[in-house]
Amino acid sequence: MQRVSSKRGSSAFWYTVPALAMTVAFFVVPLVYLIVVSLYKWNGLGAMKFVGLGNYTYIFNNANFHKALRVTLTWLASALFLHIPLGMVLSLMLNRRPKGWRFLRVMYFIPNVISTTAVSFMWYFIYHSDMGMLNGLLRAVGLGHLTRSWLGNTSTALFCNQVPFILYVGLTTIIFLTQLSTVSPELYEAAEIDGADGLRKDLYISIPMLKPAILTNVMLNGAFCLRTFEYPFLMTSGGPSNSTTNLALYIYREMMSANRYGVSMAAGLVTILLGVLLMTIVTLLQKERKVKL
Amino acid sequence: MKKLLSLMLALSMLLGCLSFAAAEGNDVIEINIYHHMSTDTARGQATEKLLEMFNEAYAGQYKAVSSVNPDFPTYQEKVKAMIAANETPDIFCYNFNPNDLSRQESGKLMDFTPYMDEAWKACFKESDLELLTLDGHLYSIPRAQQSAVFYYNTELLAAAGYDHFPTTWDEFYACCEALKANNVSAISLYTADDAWYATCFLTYAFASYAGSTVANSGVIDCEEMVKAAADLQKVWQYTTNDAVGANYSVASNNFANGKTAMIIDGPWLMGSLPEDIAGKVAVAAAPNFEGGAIQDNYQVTDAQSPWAAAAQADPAKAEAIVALLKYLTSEEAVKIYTLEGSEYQSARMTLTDEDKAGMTPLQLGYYELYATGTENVVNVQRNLSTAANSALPSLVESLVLGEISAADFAAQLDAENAY
Repeated sequence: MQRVSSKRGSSAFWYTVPALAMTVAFFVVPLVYLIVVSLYKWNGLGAMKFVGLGNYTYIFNNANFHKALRVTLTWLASALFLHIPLGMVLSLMLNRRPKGWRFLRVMYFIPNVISTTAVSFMWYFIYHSDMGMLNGLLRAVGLGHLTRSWLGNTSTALFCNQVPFILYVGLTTIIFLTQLSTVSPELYEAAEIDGADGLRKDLYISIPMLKPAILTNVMLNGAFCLRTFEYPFLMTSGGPSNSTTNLALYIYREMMSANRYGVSMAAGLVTILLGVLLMTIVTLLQKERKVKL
Repeated sequence: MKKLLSLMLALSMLLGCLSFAAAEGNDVIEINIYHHMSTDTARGQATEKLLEMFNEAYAGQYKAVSSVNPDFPTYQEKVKAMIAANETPDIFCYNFNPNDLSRQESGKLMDFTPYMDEAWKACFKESDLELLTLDGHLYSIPRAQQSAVFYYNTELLAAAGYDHFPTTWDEFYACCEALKANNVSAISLYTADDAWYATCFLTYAFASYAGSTVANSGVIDCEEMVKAAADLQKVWQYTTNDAVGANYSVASNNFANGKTAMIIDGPWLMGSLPEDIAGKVAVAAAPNFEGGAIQDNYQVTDAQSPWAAAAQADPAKAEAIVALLKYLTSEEAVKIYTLEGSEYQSARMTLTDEDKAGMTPLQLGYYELYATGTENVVNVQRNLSTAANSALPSLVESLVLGEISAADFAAQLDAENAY
């Protein structure tokens, strides 16, 4: 019996080898390379000069890096406090099966299958100061004094960058709906017998049962926010005055425009560590939930 | 029957292989030329015409094939990435920057020194060749270094009460104010990509405060630069609403569509102006201070933008590259570039009266202004380090949005340039 189990273990190991080899070749090796390059001053063409932790000292003392970190954390906050709650509210509404709910579900999901590039350009033109729909609408309803260059203003550009992400909650909603479909109808029936209305059923049954989906959404949307590039790159090029430059764009700029490969890799490693931290928190929360169950 | 069929099949395969070998043996050397001049511009059309002429002249021997990336900042980055990946294009062009010799020092560029015979050398100014020579090696061939001058819409200025372009800075700002009163944005500027128009204005202001010697010296954190940055802040109130965040095409289209009355650009702009507006456009020398630090008709120039080529192990391929570059820098080609492509080349040429008669009034105006220029100042961004160039657009944005002072702008740009 033991021999059979050992044989099975051995064959299972061999099944994992291709995936393991891919991970080593396309993640572990580049990661090691990234760490090594982050210790050098290099413009991508000439000789590499070892600077130790000099690139890390540079970024931690660099105002633009601080700004990029703040912008990235703002993206994370927009996911946690706006995008995910909006998706949750929408899924709770759709879960009540209102008239046309199937059509609405498809409509909400459509933006998720359109390329982010196309969406970015669409919103770029919505915000355009002269021919944009937003300013046109404001003028039409007599609020012309509120018109502005939405993407050219440091106080509005970042939020304007985030609006498409915040609004397009199709995938997040689907994940919540999938979780809601696993909730036993008997729980709702019992609550109805006890006199619970729709809001109470959501508060005391649906939302507590959504915790695994919340964690999944935090993980997926958190990862998206750490690596999002198209919105700031295409809508504002990271401007004005770096107010929309996040870590992904900072890394790109340092490598492709400033040709400081070492600085770029150091910032890349910090981004990876942020991702690892986020995943660790989510994993710990999932474990905690399982222990409680 | 089967045997016969097999024999025929084998024979046809053999013939096919032989004809392939014969084709291979044609020895036509293909030269890939990667540039940024797309065929929807006059200079792109001129380039294509010249390559076709070259292919005809060297039919059966060489064949030039071009690939184009019209987004110049991206093009420059792509070329660097290609050099790093050992995929250097056979021929390409770039903006020479004495603070960024990474391409030349990569060891992957062709050294033209052995090919620079007296006849070819005589095509160029000695100073251009000296500029591009590094440790005795000539890694690039002078291509173009053009002046960015003030273009203005004569109708819009006339409507604002100006029958001539302002000659002093005080008159310039008064003109901007008059245009603003007519609901016209005075000047096209932008901050995205390389913020070229904004830095042209900054350099003009800097040169008029500091003079050409200081302005070309690479000094940034100085009183004159602070004054110039303050002027850039000032002129921003006369540009379009979309200037912050806009790129070259948005800003140049604003001028081409008559939304703005002035623009500072090189001769390539002429080739992209629609006919209806080109007739209303004239060029003028920049405003100056009376008794200022620089002579009237001083000009801000772009960097020297030379040709370069990939180092070749095959001498025949190297010869082919040299043949194409000699062709593109010949007087005939330079005239085609100037007259048809609105692109002024570094190689020498003499325009005859007949040549001039074929020029449009705008082309002639530019040529005369260019030919009578007194002092040249290279756009400040062209002498910055790559890192400082990368930081420049966001610094310009911070400056014009009032987030940093003119003094902070100069100090921060200097700090980026030093890293």
